[in-house]
This record gives sequence, structure tokens and C-alpha cells, in this order.
Amino acid sequence: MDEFYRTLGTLETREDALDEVSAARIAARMDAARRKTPGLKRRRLVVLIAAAALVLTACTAAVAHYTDWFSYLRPYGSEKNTEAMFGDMGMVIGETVTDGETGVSVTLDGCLYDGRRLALALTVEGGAAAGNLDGRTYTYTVANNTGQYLLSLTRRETIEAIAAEAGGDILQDEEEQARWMYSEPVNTIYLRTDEARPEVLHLEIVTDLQIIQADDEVLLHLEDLTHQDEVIAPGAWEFTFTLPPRTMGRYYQGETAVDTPEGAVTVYAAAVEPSYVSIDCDGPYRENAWFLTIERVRLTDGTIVPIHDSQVRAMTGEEGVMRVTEIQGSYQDWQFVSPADVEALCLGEDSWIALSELEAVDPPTEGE
Amino acid sequence: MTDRELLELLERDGEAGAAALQARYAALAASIARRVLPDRPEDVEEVVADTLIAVWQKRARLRPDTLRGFVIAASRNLAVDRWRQLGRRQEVPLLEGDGEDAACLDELLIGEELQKQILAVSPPDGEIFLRHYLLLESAGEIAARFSMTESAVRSRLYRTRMRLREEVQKHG
Repeated sequence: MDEFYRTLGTLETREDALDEVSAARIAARMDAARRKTPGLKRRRLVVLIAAAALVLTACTAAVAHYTDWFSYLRPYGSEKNTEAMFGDMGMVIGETVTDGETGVSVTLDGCLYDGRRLALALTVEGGAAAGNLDGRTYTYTVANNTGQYLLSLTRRETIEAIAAEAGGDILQDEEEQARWMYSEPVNTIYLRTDEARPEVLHLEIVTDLQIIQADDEVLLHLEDLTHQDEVIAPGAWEFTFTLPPRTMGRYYQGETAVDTPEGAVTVYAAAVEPSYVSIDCDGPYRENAWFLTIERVRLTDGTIVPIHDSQVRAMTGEEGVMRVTEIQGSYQDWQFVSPADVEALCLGEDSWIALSELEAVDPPTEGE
Repeated sequence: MTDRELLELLERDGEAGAAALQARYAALAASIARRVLPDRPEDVEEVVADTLIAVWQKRARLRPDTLRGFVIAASRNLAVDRWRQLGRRQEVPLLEGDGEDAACLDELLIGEELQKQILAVSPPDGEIFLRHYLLLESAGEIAARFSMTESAVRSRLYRTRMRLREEVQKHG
């Protein structure tokens, strides 16, 4: 194998540099992974790899089929309305801010928070966006042409602390600087029009939550919403709100085996969170490539929820033998699913892991 | 910085080592990933990050003379893995080109026996095979490099595929 790598390594090939934004995202993800995975220690408890949050950005295009803003309401009832969405898992904010110059108004309808992802429901009315998006799905990363992120999610106390260090006064420039400094380069907005009301836009913001926690006061700053370099909603809007308590997942441990199309798998732990599911298992591993995925979950009422972007997040073990892998994926279309409703996970074709075959355990404590 | 110094730095100072690793190999990993995932910059970023994280995780076992090859193999495999996932959801089309070639790219797992057999392929066919299936260079690019016609490259790839399949079945 070393000889193969040596030979391969001698082949020169063209290399195209990455742009600064991409480089920053990669650096952030590597940093998160380094902090969260101290070496190759075998872990039985499912632990979030911080880098997973960055996967969300990488998945941007993968949600191009995002067809129903309200899809994640389904587990909570058939009513397609934001009250149903936030009734069980978050809060209704309902604050509207109108930009004085443009007349574009943005309403922050509410948010969901599960410890990793934050979903914000925003309604944008007026502006160039109105009626121009013909009900199709658009995927956004809100950044201008220079790569500066125009959306920031920042803990207000962080801004104030930085401003205090800078001299005690919260000057606009300093506040702006702090805001950008702490902007996470992974914020992604999913946007669609409301078919029934084409003048209204709905946005879901998914963000890396490394810098915010439940009960934090969050400042949301939106500016010049842009699509394909065209500003469709000029103006700036700011909302301040407190994150709702984290909605807890369900956690399982034990040992259960299943044959999958990719090979035999033994599952040792599972974490079912509102926005994603992950397992810790021994699974098939072939040199630097992992083929096992969590394909879907089954709810207690028989509903099947596809898993979006299932990936191996960590692996341990020795070369040439079965590997312990951590695999996780989000529910398709960024649905939030009530963890208590999930009864089984599918690892391909008819390879189902029934959670009842594992023992329900308390949530892992911080750092596990 | 040499690969030896890079690996030492990774061991000694994770933060500085990660930065140096990215500076040295992110572009290589990205270039390979882009060939499988054109027009999907976010996926490319993820493949690059996963590749570099894999290096970091395996730093104790990597050696200066195997590091670059590992980056190539890992980024290629991770990119194909991602492409396969997207392909399953029909979000990206299968690679263009002849069906057997695309299928080979999809299925080709560089196990130990195959590695051994690839190394045994006589030049320049071994390099052509590695360039196409590991570095993911197109037949046109390889043809230009070796001053051949594109169809000659495809013929050599076909013959090498057949030979490797036979050898791996015989010895595997």
C-alpha cells in the first residue's frame, strides 16, 4: 500500500487554488473536527462532530429539490401553518421590521433549535423579489461578490464584550466589525415563494451553532438579500430574540446486528435528534471510502422519512479490518422530526435497525 | 515546507499543522474533487475538508513519501463517494463518457490486490490508468500529456481495465 501511495504521489497534476471563502470554510471545518475528535479514540456514544454543521453548506445544492417549506410541519399535524411548526418545538416571534427606504418588510415568524441547527422562518414582502420567483425553489448563501457574508448570527453579549474591551462604548463601526468577525461562514438560506401568495418569500436559515446556545440572545442581521448576484430584496433588517430551549433527542445504546447491501453492520448506539439521526457502528470499510449510509427512518405511524446527506463522520479501528464508524444524516428537506416518533432506521434496502432493540439511555453529557 | 516537516508540525502543533496542511494540499484535493463534482463547489469543499481531516486523523501512520499519494486517493474516493450519493438521488448526472468507463470509476475500489496489479502494469499504461481513475484526468488531457490520440488513450484504458480485472480475479 505504501508503494502504491508513493507511486501515486509522484504524479504531477494541475492544481487550481481555492477561493478565500472556500478556504475559510474548510479551515473552520477542520478546526471543528480537530477539536471534537482527539485522535482515533473509539467512542461508543454518538458524539456530534462539529464539522457536521459545515456539511450543511456543502449540502446547499443538494436541497435543490426542496419543494415544500412547510414539509417539516408534517410530524406535528396536517395543518400547514407556522403556528403548528413552532407550537411544539419553539416559539412564535411574529415581529415585523420594514426597511424605510425600500418598503420591503421582513417578518421573523419563529425559530427551531435542536443544539446544532437553527431554522428561522422569515417572510419577506415587497422588493424585487416579489412575484419574480414563480414558486420555484432557490438555494441561497447570502454573500456579496467579495465573499463578505451579509448574514450574521451573533451572540449579542459577544459583541458587547468586544466593544467593552475596545474602550467601553459600542460604536457602530466596532459593532459592525464584531458582527462580521463572528459571522459564521456557513450560514445558508433556503428560500421559496409561497405558491398561494407569490408576493411572499419564505426563508429557512441553517447555521453552525458553535457560537450560540439555548437561551442566548441572538441578533439576526439581514442585508441585501441576493440571488445570483442580483439583490432581490434591498435593505437591512435586524431582529433580536432569545433562542428557545433546545429540543432534546432520544439516545440509545446496546448492540444489534443487521445485514446491509454493503455488508454486515453492528450498531452500538443511536442518536435521534429533531434534525438528524446518527449511529455508532462497526461497518464495512474499504480503503478511504465508506459506502454505508442511513437511508431513511420509519416513524411509529408508518411514515417513512428519507435521510438527506448521510455521511460517515468518524472512523476508528485498524487497517484492513472492520471499522467503527459514526454515520449521520439529516432528514430530507431539512425536516424536523419528533425524536420520540422515530422507531427504526434503514441502512439500505430492507436492512432496518429497530430502536427497540437498543436500550434508551440518558442524553450524553457535554464532551462525551 | 517539506512533507516531513508538515507531518512533524501536525504532530507538534495541531492548529499550525492544519493550516500548513491546507495550504499545501487543499488545492490538490479540490482539483481532483472538482473533476467528479463540477459545478458543485460546496460538495468540493466538503470533500477537501474530509480529505484533510483524514490526513490529520491518520497523521501518525503517514510518511513523507506517502502523504501526497494518500491525499490523492482519499480525495478521489471521497469525491466518488459523494458523487454516488448525489447520483442516487439523481441530483447529479452520471459522468459522461462510455458507460463501462463511468461504471468502472464508480465501482473501482483500490484494494491491496488491485494496487499491486496496477503497480505491475507496464509504462505508460499504469500511469495512464492512475491518471484517469485516481487523478480523474480526462482521456483528452492524458492524450495531450503523452502525445497520443484520445482514442489511443481510451484503448489503453480499456485494455488495462480488462487486464486488471483478470489479474485481480485470478489473485484476489
